[in-house]
Amino acid sequence: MIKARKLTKRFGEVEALVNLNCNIPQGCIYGLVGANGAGKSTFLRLCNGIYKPDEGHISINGGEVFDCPAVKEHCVFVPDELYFLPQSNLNRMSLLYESMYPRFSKERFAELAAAFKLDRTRPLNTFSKGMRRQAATILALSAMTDYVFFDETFDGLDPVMRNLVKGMLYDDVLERGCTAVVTSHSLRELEDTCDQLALLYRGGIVFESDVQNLKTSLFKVQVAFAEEFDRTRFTGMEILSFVKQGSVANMIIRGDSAKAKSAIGVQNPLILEILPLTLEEVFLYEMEALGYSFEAPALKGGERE
Amino acid sequence: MKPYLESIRRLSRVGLILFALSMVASAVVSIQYCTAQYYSNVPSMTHMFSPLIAFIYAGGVVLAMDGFSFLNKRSDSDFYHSLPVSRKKLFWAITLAALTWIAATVLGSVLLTVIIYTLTKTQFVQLYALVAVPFFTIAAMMVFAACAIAMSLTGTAITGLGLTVLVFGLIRFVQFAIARGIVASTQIINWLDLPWYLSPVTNIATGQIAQLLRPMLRQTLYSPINILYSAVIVGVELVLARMLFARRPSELAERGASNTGMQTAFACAAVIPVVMLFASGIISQRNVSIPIVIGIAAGIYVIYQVIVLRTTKKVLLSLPWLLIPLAIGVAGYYGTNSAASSMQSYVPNTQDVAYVQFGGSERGSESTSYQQYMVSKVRFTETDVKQYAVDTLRDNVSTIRQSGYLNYSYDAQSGYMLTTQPVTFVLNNGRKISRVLTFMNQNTLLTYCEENSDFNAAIRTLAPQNAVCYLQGDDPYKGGYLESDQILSAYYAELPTTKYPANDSYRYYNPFETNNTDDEQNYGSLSATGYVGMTRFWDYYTIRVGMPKTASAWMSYENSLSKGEYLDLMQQMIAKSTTLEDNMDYFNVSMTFYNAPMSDGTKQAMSFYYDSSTGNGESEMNATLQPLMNELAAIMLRSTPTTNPNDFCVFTNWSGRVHKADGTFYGADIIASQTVTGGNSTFVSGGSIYYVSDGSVVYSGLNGAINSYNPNYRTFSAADQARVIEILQQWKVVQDQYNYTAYGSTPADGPSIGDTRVYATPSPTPVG
Repeated sequence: MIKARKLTKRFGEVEALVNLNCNIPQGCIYGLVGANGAGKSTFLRLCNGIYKPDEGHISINGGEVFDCPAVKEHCVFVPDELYFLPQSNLNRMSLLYESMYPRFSKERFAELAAAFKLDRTRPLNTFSKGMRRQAATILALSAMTDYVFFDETFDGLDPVMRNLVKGMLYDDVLERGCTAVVTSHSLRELEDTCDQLALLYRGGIVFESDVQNLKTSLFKVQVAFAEEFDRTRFTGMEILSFVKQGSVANMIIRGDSAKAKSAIGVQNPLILEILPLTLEEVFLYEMEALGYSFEAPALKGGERE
Repeated sequence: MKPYLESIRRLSRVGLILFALSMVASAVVSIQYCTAQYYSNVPSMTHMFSPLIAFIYAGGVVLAMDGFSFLNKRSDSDFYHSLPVSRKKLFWAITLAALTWIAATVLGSVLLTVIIYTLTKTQFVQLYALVAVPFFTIAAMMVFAACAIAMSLTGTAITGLGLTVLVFGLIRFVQFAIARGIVASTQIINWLDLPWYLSPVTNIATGQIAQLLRPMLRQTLYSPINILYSAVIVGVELVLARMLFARRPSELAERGASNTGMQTAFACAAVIPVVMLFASGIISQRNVSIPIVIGIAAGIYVIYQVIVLRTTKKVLLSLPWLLIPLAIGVAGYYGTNSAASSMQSYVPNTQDVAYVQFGGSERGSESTSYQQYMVSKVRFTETDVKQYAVDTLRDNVSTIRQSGYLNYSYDAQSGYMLTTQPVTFVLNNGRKISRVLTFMNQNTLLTYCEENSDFNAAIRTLAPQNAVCYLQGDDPYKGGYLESDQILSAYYAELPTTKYPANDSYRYYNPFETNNTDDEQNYGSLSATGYVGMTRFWDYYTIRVGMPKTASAWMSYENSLSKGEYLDLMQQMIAKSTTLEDNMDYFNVSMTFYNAPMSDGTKQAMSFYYDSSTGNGESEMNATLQPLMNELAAIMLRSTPTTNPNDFCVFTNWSGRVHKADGTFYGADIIASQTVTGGNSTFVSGGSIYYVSDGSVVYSGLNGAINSYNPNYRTFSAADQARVIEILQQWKVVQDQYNYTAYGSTPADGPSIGDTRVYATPSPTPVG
């Protein structure tokens, strides 16, 4: 398990993480999403012992991470900006990984390279961006660590490769109980890949939940009544957004959709529809509720309360 | 082990390039040296392994910057810091890998150099190879360690390089500046006399740079103590670098320093060398120089800060910190002057001096004699010596204080008696003070020194004969060495039977005795160079009449080199010398007569010189001398070579370019028969050549000139000897009349030439 308690990291006057607390259980694929500058990459770097916390601590399997090889040998990191040895190829990089990671598997490396159809002798600086990401992923997965950290790694992969990597990741999680922590800007990717999701905002985790729960905890309600109505008609419900166009109101409600439907239904609406939200919509509304403002194209021209 | 092997692999790209370059450079330099035509001495360590001097700095910096290059880029730094290896282990893996490459390169270069020297049978000090490996390895690691510290403190290549220079050289530069200031200010302390904490060579990496500026430092640079001390410094610096590396935040990559304070500290450090120029004495403390230096220092500071801090406000806020290096400069100046004054004025009491030692006036040079080396080990406990040294020190200090420099007025008597000697006073409490003293009278010093039996033995000690590598510039594999070796063997056998020291600098000096008399007549000197252990020596052994077997061997050797003196040609040129046809024509002859009998019963070596050229050829003096020369030439034609040093004999060198009346050259047939090879060119005779009597030819720009430089020693019949003496007597009269002071002329109040008691027989009729 990865545990972070009051984790704080500053860069000069900038506070990248402030009192961050989280638990990442073992054997899951944990997605971390957040706006630019939220602290996602900083958090991953703290998890891998690249940065030293200014306050608080972060531990993996009970051991502090920073400058502790015994803990770090269970972790491998695939950053957003990849690093390869100059003039090297996959074979050369595998030697580097093999020398550093005690459980590095040459067989798995060969198997993954074949699966990705990457030439192991070709210089990595001749690879495309996507191929370089594939190469980095192969090396990381071949390290056979208990924790794998991907920082926006799936960006740049084509859909076929993306599915391939996901499949390999699932295999690792299922077979070895490996834990993957993935950050991405593409919620659609995380939606399909992760089973846990956390939202990072201004240096702290504002909510974390399993993905299924996230999708069902927020829902859209389209309702219309014969008489005039407003938001106050729906007291007792946690309404994140209320937009009325004409006589039809669109509401984003947090809570149990069945209970909400029942509560509204007794008021004899002319229109009542419960619509599920995509994870992206959930993210947008949650962020809006937290004060991260933006123009949502769907709500243009309507009333916003 | 795995991180170490991985680091070896990672550094292999630059490691192999450095290795290859060093090997090629070592091969080229060694082959160039070993195939040279002439050597005077075995090469010093600096000359022998000169490519490795460059490697110290190039290799150390390049391997460090490549090994720690990941610290300068965020993605690289993050990757390496994410690896499951402790920072401590990572640091040592890179360091040991660099050490491996450095050691392999040094070892390879040294081995290759030794192999080339051995295969080409070129003499070298064999112990140098053993010392060179640890020396250059540790020196390169010193540079590496400095760079490792710098890389751990900064996050860009440029600042890393800049900080490397500061870490590597700042402290030693300050030390060098203070040392230079003391040497310049005291005037009696030499670079080799500085206390160990001011010596530039204890740090062998910066010492290499110092010896380029002060070559005498080579003598002590390669000392095992300096190597050991430097190894300790390397260890300390690497431990410091490791600590800094472990604490270094990964996010420092791509930034000059972790914070503004560090940047300012670097800027202050960069300014210190400028402000220390006053302490060094390079810049004098004058009204105009102070603002200039301060301006330059401030300029460097501001420019650096503008580049790294980038905002005017931050630069202005940091300006007060400039006062710190300025204060260091002021403290350095006054501190150095104060220290110099204190060191200069210290004169021990004689009773506090346990003994003194004399380092030798040639110490630090390429031509230190073996005897001087032996004398440097002698401990003079005699009161006379100690007292004279102490009195001289006091007198020197007083003279400097009065005049600002060592100012001893010269007169005919005292001027030539001065001698400057490095002296070490060892006090009863073990403290050592070294000074370079100017003694008023070298003969007095010698008299006192001769009270010490070790000294007397030392000045008569010759280096082991098998330690001699070159004689007269020839090595054992060349023919000339074998002939010279016979002279050396005779010298080694005869010297102990005489009163002579092996080195003329340990003889009593008479400034007026320009002509040597009796046994002191000398025929020349034998140059012998070689090494004992790691000490190279260069001796000159004077060949004297007082060592007859040696002198005879010498004469035999010189005569063997002569392949034709063309005395008849000389006679013809002499005859024509007063009526030269061409503006560029000339003739001159130099004769040294040995065992010329004198009126006081002594025998003396004397030199006479005749010179004729267009302009002075028809002078009255030459008109008087020429008939004498004609007669001498005729006598010389009748003379015979001799190898008896006790014979009355002559050694003649002449040269001339003389046209006949018909416009042809005298000696044209000789010139025509010679094909000249000079350097890379071959000239057909008749072009610009010199011809010398041993058959070798020297290229000259003057067409038709002939030189005879390798004559025989020639002696005369009894009748001719008497006539020669008469001629020399007449010659002396002419010299005095025309104030023509020839080399080796007798003083006016000395004995006259010729002992009529010996040659009672009448002079033979001169041959016309």
